[in-house]
Amino acid sequence: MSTQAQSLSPRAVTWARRRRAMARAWRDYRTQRSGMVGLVLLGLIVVLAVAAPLLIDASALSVTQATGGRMEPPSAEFWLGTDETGRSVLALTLWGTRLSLVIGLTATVAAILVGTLVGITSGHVGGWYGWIALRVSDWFMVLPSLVVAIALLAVLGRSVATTVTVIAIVSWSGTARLVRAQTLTVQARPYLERARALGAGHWHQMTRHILPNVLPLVLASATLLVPSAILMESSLAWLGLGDPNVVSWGSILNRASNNGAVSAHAWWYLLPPGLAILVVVAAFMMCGRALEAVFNPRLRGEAP
Amino acid sequence: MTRRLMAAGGVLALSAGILTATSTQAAAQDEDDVDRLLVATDQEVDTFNPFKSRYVITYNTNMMTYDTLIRTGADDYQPVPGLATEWEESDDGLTWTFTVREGVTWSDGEPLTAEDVAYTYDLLISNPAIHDWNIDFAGNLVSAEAPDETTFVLTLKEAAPAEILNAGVFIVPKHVWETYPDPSADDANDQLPLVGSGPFQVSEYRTDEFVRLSANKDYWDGAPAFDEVVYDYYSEGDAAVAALEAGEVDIVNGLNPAQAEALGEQDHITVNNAQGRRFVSLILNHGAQTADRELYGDGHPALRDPVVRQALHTAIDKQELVDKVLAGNGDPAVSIIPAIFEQWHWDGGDELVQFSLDEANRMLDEAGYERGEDGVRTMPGGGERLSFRFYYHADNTDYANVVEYVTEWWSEIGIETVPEPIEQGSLNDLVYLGEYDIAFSGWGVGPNPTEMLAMHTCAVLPTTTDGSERSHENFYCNEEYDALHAQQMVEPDPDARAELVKEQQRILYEDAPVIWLYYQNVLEAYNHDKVTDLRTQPAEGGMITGQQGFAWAYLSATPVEGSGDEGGVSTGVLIGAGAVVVVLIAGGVLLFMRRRSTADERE
Repeated sequence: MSTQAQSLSPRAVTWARRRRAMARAWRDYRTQRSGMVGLVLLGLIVVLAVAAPLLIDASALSVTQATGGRMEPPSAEFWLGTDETGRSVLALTLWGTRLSLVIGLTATVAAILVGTLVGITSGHVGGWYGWIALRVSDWFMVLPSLVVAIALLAVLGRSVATTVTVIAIVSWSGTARLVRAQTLTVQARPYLERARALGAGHWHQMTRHILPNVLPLVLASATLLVPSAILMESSLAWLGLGDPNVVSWGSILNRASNNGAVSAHAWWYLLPPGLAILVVVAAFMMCGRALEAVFNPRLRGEAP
Repeated sequence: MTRRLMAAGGVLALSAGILTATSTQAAAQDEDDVDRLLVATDQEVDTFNPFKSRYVITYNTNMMTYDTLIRTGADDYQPVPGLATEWEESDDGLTWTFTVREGVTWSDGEPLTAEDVAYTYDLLISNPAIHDWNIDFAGNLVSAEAPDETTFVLTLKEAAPAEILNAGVFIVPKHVWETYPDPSADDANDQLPLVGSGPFQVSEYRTDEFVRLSANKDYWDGAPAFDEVVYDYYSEGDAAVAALEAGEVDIVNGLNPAQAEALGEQDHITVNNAQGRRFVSLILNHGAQTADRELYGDGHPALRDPVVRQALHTAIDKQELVDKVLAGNGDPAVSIIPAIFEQWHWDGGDELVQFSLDEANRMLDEAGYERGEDGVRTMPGGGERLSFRFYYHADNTDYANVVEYVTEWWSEIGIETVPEPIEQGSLNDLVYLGEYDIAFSGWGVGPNPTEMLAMHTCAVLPTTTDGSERSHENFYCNEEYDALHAQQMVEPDPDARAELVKEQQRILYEDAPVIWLYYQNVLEAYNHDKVTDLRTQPAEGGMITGQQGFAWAYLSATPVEGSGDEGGVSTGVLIGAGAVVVVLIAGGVLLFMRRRSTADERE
């Protein structure tokens, strides 16, 4: 490889290498059937979420403009029936996709950022800082996440921002652990020693050598973190701890159970958001597992 | 062969298990000669001390455990004799003489005399903690005496006939309470069973499991037909509904419309949809103030303007709220006294505010609140935006739904709201500190209008700004209103008093410190295969749970004769189980025999 690249600039070499690595990863990924199914499902869901305002007008969420009756069963006009204020459950579920996805993704990004930062620095710098960072992440790991999240939301108040923060707070530590372990492995490789010998500083080592090597792992773990973040958002909203002014799947379920949908046997009110959560979580899990298998050869089965 | 052995052993163990199960069932059946009325509840017990309790559940247990001198009638909320057979007011209205019923005994067999009554009222006067806790009523008492066994004399500072007739003081046994080191302590009256003179006494309590009340078979007004009333805890409304459907509980209240509808389709259940005595309102921070008229808190300045408050009122479609949020189970509210108290209720007359977004917009335009670029109005002369914090109780689904409607209507008139669900305790703290703009409030109103009207008098304004004095609703003070209030409290003629009370309501309505949204119906259901003869209050379309002044429904409640049928059913179950046991034992024996025979063959 290096012989081919002699005439190219170092940057071009790096990028060529990365492109090849990505192509290889994609090739491996495509061989995973469930991963592909997950990806297609995700694509569909994202398209639906983005196109929600085009498909159904925002006024469908207005209680004062609702046209349906109280908890009407599915009909030609309302495919998935109505809620207690006469709004279409289909519209609510579709619009709920946006918020559930946004919260799931934002919380994951926040958790991953913090986790990666702590993981790399604690693995690379080590010493007393590494020890403290490790203990702190241990501490967050053993806390029962739902209980902590409920307590935090009770203190911080209920809004989308606090929900995201709280989910990030309870879920960053796993990533930190993972990244730290990978950092330590990368650290032990000879080319890092060479970089150090050539005078590379901590910053250079961490950003140029360690980070690119832990990123694939981070990506896989992020994909697996999203469904748990979505589940947690839904659980919190279902418990009545979500932002009351927005529609998410959890908040739809919360309203349904509070307004007696269970006693009224209004399955059309309970099932759509529940199934939506199931589908999204399953899609992310499938993608995540496939990614993990691609980036972690030990998990890869025998080649056919 | 080992497999067969195990199978046999399994069958035998199983049948033995079933035998024990059936025998315990039989034992339980024997105990069930007790006629038990099971009522679902989800509210914790605050205290069994009747001078301190504030919760609905303990109000109910108090009403059953103890008696009052005067009861609130079941038919129309009028005062009727309780422990007092008759009473007389002196000409100046300051001295009241009661004749205490003869031959009444406490549940421990001791006789009840005027001494006990005097002791009880004296606790309100001379025990400082009890006095302060009940200051609204106790503050007006001077002395309580029992000149003889059947006469009780009460002296007042100021005439207040309605207060005395609706006092609802639970008479406690002197011979028991004298032994308490501190009768004002929350745990003073925790020795179960409680001694009282009412139809049922609290006899057993397990936190989050049940409160059991046992019947007083010697009750002076006739022994209750049920042997026990048990409050059973169900943390989820849907669980209580399912239990009622399954016959595991007999009475459930606080249903939501969907639950009431689902229960209405059941053959063995009667749903009672009764006009309620509870209102739900929005309180506006029109300027938190102390008794010295010192303003405090951080309320929005726009709410001090009556025009803004009236515009907010005009932009709420109360009928729509009743139709959509309550599914029609209620009535749009006008004023502070619910329509169920026809005598005192003011219906708005010609001044009734009609819902109109255009009218509300016109009012705000004329008053100079112009719309900014974002469509939200600002204070006249350009200034603070009309953006109001809107607090509601986090556990109340109806409120959350109301918030959605109101927010949408108000956005049409250029007013922004920032809704926030808050736990009840914190919400109250914020309100009394004046740190809110708009908040929900709701009260169950009693038959004496003074109670509610008093919350809006200058006399109850707080003296400090720390939010600890909570006799007021939201800092209202109006001298004209106060004058009417003082007048109605001493007015002996009910019709003249009603006029005064209605005029007070009109003033509140026009000034709009509070917007009353709706009067909520009571949605409750009972199993009519198990219980009948539940007396409602009031007689016409009245409620079963949530009665005021006396637990009429539970005294009159009678087990349905046919509930003996259940014995039949369970006999059937027993026979069935017995048959199963026989078959299983036979099977076991058969297996055992076969095992032996195979063994024989092998050997």
